[in-house]
Amino acid sequence: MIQTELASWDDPETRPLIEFVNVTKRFGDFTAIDNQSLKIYKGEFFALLGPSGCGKTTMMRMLAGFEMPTEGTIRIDGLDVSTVPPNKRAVNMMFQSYALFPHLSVWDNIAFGLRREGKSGQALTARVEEMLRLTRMEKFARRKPHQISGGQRQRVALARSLAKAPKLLLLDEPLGALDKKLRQETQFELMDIQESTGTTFVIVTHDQEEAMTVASRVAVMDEGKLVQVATPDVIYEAPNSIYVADFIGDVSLISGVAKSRVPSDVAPQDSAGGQPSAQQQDTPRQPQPNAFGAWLHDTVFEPVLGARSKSDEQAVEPAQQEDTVTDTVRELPAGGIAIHWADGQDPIIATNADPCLDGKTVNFSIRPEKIGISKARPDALNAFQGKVIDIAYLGHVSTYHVVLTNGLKIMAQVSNTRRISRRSITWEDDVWISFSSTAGVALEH
Amino acid sequence: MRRASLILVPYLWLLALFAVPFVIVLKISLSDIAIAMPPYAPNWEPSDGVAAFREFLSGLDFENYVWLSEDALYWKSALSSLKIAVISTFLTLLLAFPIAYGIANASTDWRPVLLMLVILPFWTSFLIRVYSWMGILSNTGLLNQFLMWTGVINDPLQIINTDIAVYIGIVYTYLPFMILPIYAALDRLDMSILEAAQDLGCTRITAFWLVTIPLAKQGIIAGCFLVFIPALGEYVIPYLLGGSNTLMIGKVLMNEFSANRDWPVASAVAIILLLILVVPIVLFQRNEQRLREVGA
Repeated sequence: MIQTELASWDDPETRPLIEFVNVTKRFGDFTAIDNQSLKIYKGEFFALLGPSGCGKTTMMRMLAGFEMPTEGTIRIDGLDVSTVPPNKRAVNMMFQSYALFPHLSVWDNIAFGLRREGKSGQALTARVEEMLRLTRMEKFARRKPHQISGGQRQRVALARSLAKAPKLLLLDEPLGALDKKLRQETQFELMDIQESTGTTFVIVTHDQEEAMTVASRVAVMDEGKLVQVATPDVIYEAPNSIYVADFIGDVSLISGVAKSRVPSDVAPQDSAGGQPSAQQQDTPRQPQPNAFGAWLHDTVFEPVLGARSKSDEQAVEPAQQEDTVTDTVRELPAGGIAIHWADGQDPIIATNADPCLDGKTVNFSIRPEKIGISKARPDALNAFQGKVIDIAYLGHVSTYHVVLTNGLKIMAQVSNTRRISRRSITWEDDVWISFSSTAGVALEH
Repeated sequence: MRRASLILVPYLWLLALFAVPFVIVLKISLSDIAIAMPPYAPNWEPSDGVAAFREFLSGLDFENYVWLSEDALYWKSALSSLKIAVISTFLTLLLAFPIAYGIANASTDWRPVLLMLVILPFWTSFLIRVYSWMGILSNTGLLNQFLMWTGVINDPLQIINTDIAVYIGIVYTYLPFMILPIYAALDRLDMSILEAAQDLGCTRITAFWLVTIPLAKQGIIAGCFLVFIPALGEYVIPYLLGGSNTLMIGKVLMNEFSANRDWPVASAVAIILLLILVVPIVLFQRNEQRLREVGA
């Protein structure tokens, strides 16, 4: 993430808007939140992400004031709110079920909180109209909640919770009841509204895509604990545990014993497949057009310039090529670890891993889109042979399930820049999978 | 065809159990008292022929209704019935709402038990239950004995044979009819709506008035009608628990019918009672319909 200024969560000077200090919440014998601390800053769009029952809703309900912490302190804007009832907090919540008042019109629903503040007349009307405009519900102001669609109800709920201009808005699975298309649209709407109002949003969701899309920071939760709190890219690229890696997106896990690599350590010494073939070494790599360039050539320039020379098509996708080029065996980067994951197989080289893991059993976690797949042995540091057992065609991408010689299953994802009929790899094909030495992460637990 | 026959069933039911008896009662109310069997005239049998039917029709008149309007007893008893029914409906509501609210908020383990307890009294005959109230409320009854034993009072309270006993009897008897519809309404209420109200600045009490009550309105109205309608025509409770001063239209009706054996006047009273009940129901339903149309 490129940022010129220090993000508020990285700046020790910034005072957090919300502070959980060693908060524990128990319901009878059950510990919903286990001694957790967390800071959320002003203007953040913060996501609490986890499977159901992980405690994310409890965290939110404690912020709203519906639950009191059993131990520890919660501060909002520096004030301890542990015993402040919900109606006395500058916090509003958008409920999962929307919880609109069925006996009141859309207009009166939005005005409800303002009226409790004692607002009336011109000021009330102006604020309600403003909220109706913000959520584009002006036309439906006189309708009752049962007379509008699910998406409209969601917007009314949002308008109602924003009407009092809270310091903090809590959103409990706000888009769970919407269909996928509408959900995606609404995610961007939510981000726009969050930006234009400058309100701090805390969203609870079990949908990792939703959390990644909307949030500035994500807290991944499991069994009452915050497993990792970081920006979406860090969560995705550098998960701190198998749990996080597995929960966010698809991942292949390879377990093995780590061995630290000394700078002098040279490439895998075995000759069978370790060294690229002489032919490959000698021939300089041909520049290849990308998908658009190829299309442009084929449709526009071909009649004029003639067919372009199609050297054997490189199945490794452009994104991987950059890495694979720099990671050729000749320029083997130093450091990191080698993971011995199967007898008779080359170790996996992970140059970004901590050498301190030496001797420990680690799980090497790698995302499917970081793995290239090709029929010929690619010119990559980490390349392994396998067989395609399954192909999941998702339209824009295809996921190849490749089983390695020792039976381990690995997923490789390739963008479908070409039409499916030109797909060169199919079921039962013997293939090579490859990835760069920084593509994955080695996780200890 | 299938649809038509499906619709036909409730209409046939209504015809057989409401329209036909109503026409018979209406006809008797337009007849004159006669010392005969049946104790009213004129009468007509299909075998008498069409000419006799015309004669029969000319024999019907509104004499009994005129009589009802002239004798103060009838409108006084109608008014008194209205008063007793309104007050006892209100008292039933006051008692039933907290009970219904309590059941709706009880844990799911307890709810069926509590609902069972509400319905349990129906397992005993209504008459026996009213008689046992006589045993409780009479001057030497359980209540007075208990109060004198605790020393709260020295002389027994006169409860039996007063309007108070009638109120107690009606509230006791019709309480389940009020609890059940209110419970049904409260049970449907989504707890998150109350939380939303608190989140938007309501205290628990204002949330109750602004959200719980309006959302329970349908149940409250249904319960009130279920209590008010039978209470208005109540006969057994004022007869057994009320005194000679307790005027209720049901009691008057029964008196005309059995003691005076004046079936035509009794029928006229019954028709009046029906009108008193039908008018508010129709008005209520019109209002509901209008609200629904405005909302849509």
